[in-house]
Amino acid sequence: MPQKNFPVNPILYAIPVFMLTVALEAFWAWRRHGNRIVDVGGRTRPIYQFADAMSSLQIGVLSRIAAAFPRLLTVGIYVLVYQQFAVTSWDKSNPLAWLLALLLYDFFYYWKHRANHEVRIMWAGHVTHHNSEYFNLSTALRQSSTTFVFDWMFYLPMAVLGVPPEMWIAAGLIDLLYQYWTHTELIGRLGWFDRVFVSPSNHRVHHGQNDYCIDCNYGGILILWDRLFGTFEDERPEPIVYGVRTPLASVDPLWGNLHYYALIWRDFRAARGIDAKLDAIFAPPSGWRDEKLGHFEPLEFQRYEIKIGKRLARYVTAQYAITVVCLCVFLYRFPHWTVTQSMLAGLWIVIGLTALAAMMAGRRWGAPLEIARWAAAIAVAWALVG
Amino acid sequence: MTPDSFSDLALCLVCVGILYRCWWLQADRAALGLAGLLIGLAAALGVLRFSTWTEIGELVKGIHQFASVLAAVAGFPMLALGIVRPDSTVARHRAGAWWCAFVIGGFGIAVWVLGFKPWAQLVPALSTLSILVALRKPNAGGDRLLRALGVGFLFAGFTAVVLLTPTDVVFGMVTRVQLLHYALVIGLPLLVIGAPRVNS
Ligand SMILES: [Zn+2]
Ligand SMILES: [Zn+2]
Repeated sequence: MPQKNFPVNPILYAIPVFMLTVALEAFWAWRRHGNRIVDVGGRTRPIYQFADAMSSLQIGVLSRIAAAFPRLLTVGIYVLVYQQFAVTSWDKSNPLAWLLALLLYDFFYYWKHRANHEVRIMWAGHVTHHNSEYFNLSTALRQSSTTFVFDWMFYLPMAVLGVPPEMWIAAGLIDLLYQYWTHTELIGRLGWFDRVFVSPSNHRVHHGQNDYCIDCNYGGILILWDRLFGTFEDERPEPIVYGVRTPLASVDPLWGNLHYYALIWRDFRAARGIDAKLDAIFAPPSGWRDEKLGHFEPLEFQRYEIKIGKRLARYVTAQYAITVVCLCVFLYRFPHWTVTQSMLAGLWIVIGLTALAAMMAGRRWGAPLEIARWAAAIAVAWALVG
Repeated sequence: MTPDSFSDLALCLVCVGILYRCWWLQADRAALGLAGLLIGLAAALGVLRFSTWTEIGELVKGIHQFASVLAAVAGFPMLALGIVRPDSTVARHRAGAWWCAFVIGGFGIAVWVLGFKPWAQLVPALSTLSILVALRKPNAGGDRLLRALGVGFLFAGFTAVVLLTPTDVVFGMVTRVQLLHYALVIGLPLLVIGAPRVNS
């Protein structure tokens, strides 16, 4: 059913800003630092790596498409809980109430993010955001397409406390957008700010896989929550190795979203008895508290590298630009389309992302899939015009 | 204090006892402790809701309803997990039990608000049934007789809720909800005391 008078997805306005700032950061990284930064063992490594950044951006597109579909259900559950259980209704004309809602949202965001790191089935979704072995603004856009399954649950207490859905949605948007700028290596330490707010310095630690970086700095806007609940880690002079200890080693956006679920499924099937099967789903990815975490040796870490020729890089970039335009059209038209129309349009974009990733990875089926996708698009356009 | 409020108070005190025993005293019974916390929280809010102080009662009405559904859809599965699978890491570790209850509770709330209200009765009944079925295992440990009695009281309480109407009064003074609360007041401690020992 198409829904009329549906508000425009606010992410639409943010997309041009995201694209421009990623380009600016990449430009700045080359201009000021020659795109190199100090790595472990006194070596240097790139700040931006083409395949990694492109993969992050593609995963970002996929996440926006995937998020559009269940949004009505997850927002709907919040609204229903609010309607049935709210103790009161907060005054929407009071600016203080909006501020308090943001504070409350940030508190629950902390716990959501912490659970995303401490429960395997939730980590399976969130790991997508951490798969990148580089850390720049493109990493911020590398959002999961599956975390919607559990995310909404964490904010239900807000509905019970009487935070109206509009306030909740606005707080969520502010919290999400705030975190964008913290994904950069080009901003150093910021003094007192790093100890009060989530900043590039403490978020770099969150994305690291060095021993001291595991399971810390979960805050969204305020890092004070981490200091309050004992999960804060200050950045240390040793270079951080970004990424996860179960490396993705792929640029495929779909596999980037599903690889940890596959691992859970494998463990679940291999597990003998209900106890072990429960463990496969609910255990912390880094082991239970009484289990010792394996040591990570930064010097031995090998980043996933794929070499891409200049022509292919140009083609993929141009196709990505087209994909972003298609995404904007998708998000703008989504409320007016039928579910089938939305699914077909979404599928076409996702096939495109998969084909481009396959071409980058040197898979033989990448180019034929890309040609088939465009042939299908032209045929549909022809039929519609005809 | 109203009779409803009193039955909630009795249930709340029993749950505080379970929480103390299984969360603080024994560090490896997190699932049972959490069951005590969730059911106890709903009961504590029930004390306020049905108290003679009507303003407070109105204020906590929504939270009490929410906590009651949560206790039903997440508290009882935790109780069953702690008794049927006491050695599982999820039942022993606080974080494991907490997140497991969270996920089950979140989905339970969603199912309930989306219109399938019997979920809040089906889950406690199935949880208790799983405890009953597990009684067949002769060497599960703990006290089987206490567990069997506990299951009996729980089922008696559930049956009262199904068979009686909200206005029915038995023994000249007890409503069906009060009857359920008193059944839990006796049944829950029996189940927790009779629960199998944790081996590892
Ligand atoms: Zn994270
Ligand atoms: Zn991040």
